[in-house]
Amino acid sequence: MAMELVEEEKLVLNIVHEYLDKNRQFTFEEILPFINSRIRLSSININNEGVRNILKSLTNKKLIVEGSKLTKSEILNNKKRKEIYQFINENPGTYFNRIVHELNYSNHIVVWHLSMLLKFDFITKEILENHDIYFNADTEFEDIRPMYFITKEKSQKIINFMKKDNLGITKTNLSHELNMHMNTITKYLTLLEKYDVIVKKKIDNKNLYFLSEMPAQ
Amino acid sequence: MAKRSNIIIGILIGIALLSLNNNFVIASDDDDDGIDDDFEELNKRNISLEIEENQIQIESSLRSGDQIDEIQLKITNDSEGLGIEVSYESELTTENTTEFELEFGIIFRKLVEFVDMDNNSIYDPLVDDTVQEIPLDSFQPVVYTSINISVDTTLHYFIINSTNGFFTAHIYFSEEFHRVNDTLITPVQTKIDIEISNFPYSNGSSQIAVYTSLESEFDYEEEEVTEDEIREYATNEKGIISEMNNFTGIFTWKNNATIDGISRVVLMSDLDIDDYDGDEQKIYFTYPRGTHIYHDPKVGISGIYKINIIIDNPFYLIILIAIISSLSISIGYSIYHYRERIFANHYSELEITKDFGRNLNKVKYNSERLDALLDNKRLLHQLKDLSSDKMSSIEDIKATALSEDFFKVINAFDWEEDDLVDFIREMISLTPSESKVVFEEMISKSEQRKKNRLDDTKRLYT
Repeated sequence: MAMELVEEEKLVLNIVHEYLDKNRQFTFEEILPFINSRIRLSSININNEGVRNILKSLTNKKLIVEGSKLTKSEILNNKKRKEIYQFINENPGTYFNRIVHELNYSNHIVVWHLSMLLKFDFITKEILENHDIYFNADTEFEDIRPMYFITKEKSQKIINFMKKDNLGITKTNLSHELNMHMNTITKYLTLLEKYDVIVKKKIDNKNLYFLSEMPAQ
Repeated sequence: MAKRSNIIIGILIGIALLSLNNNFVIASDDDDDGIDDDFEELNKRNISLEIEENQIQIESSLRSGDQIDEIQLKITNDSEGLGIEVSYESELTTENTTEFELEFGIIFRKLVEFVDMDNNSIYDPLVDDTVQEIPLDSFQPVVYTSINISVDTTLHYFIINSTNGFFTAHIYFSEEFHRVNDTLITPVQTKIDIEISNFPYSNGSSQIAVYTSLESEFDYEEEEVTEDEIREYATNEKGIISEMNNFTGIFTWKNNATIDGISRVVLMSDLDIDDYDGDEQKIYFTYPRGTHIYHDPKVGISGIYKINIIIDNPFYLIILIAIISSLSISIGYSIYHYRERIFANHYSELEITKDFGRNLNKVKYNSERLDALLDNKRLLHQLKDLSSDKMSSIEDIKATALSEDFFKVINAFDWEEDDLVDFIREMISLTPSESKVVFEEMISKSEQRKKNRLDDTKRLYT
């Protein structure tokens, strides 16, 4: 695929790109007068025949190609994209690396599909804790925030442990039982408490944590 | 031009260093460890420790100064592996609450014997043949030795052996700068020498990798130049860093290990998602085959040394400004060139495909196949008939323009046939500026690692 362009080809290609900034596609009939008008403003002297030859050369080099149309209804026809979309719906607030890892697709494939899902408003992207997170476009970001934290592996570890025996546990015991750093435990307990997944109660001078749905009697 | 700038920068740095030596640093080094004694005194720390059955808790605080910080180190040896957790608080408060500003950790989880199928000397479980895995899940009691290194400072030395005896960790934590076996141990780091002895190889041509989990609330990034290299405390190092609240946790190691008495290169895998915890990362250290392997990583905190320069003469102030200016110019220049070098290679097909070369089942598209997918016969036919007086009669075929990036992306990545056809069809339905966003993101993801390196370097110099 020869890519070396002469000065005139570069000029015409730039004009075509300029036209496409405002128009999704073009016909030669539409673009020829536009190119001619722009060329008249430049110092390069090319006549109509010259422009036609340059367009031909750019077409030969596949830098001008026949366009295609894509509608929103076609977007989910792609199997991998549909799978990514479903994964995001099932895991709201998921992030790029997790999608790559869980679905086992290459980075560039995931980037492509996420871009199309974003462009056609199937999903939304926001930044949370240094991660780009993705979720269904119909969901509010504020609703995603608790889900993002609650579904994190460490939060799940804490919740699952507390589900087994919800008699209340201290932070130190939880750190010991789950073999997690005390500060990590503190961070996750604070978040889980903030989002009403757990509650903290002071009993016998000890701060005990309980799952919210089964508070201590 | 570049050469001349380098000379000027060299001279400026030279002046700066000479000035530094002559005016600001009292070159006394009574303990002969290569570190100025005043600087050492400023950075001396008090260490207290608590040794339990499967856990050692170490607390280290600055001895002097208005602001007393705390490094907390927790070494665990249990069924999870050998773990080192580091926490840092820049200012201890009187309140009984400890909210650390930096937390990170590593866990040596298992030894992996493998046959290097792609001969790249890096263990990749997807490509290489895994012969056996020996988990580091059982350990002998910790052996602790306290060594006085000066009148008022101690070196703490722990030996942790796996029960099977194949793996030993020698862990050093010092109250001041101290040299052990020609390696400088600083008071803000712990040195962990890994020793693998008499590994029971099952295959005649295999080698060993050490699976290491990396824990941090924020992702680790590779570090091209370590702080110890910049400070000339060490050479030939590599490492990764994790940043949190403007503090930087470091995990660094020598590029070479001693294998049966000979210094050999150690290679490590790219950072990847940890098998044990999807929120964390992992790295494999791969060692050349040998009966006795000795390597010395370090874990610590970067950029927290205390520096005290007293300026009692305006002349020194001028010199100091000159030093700062010259260093800023040289750093700026280095960063500029480093950045230029990276971005010059930004679209290097070789570099991009390196990341994706593992997709062995996929097809690389050559220009002939691409030509077939982008058939332009209809457009060329239309152009043949195109003239100003016949324009209204020609067929109304919608066209678009592609950028050079389009072909770079197509060629840089491996595609399954259906994916490529769909991708091209969709990209030519977008405007060039819309598709450019997609291409840039694709290239950006594959270049992320390089950019991280650049950012690390920037951070180190600022």
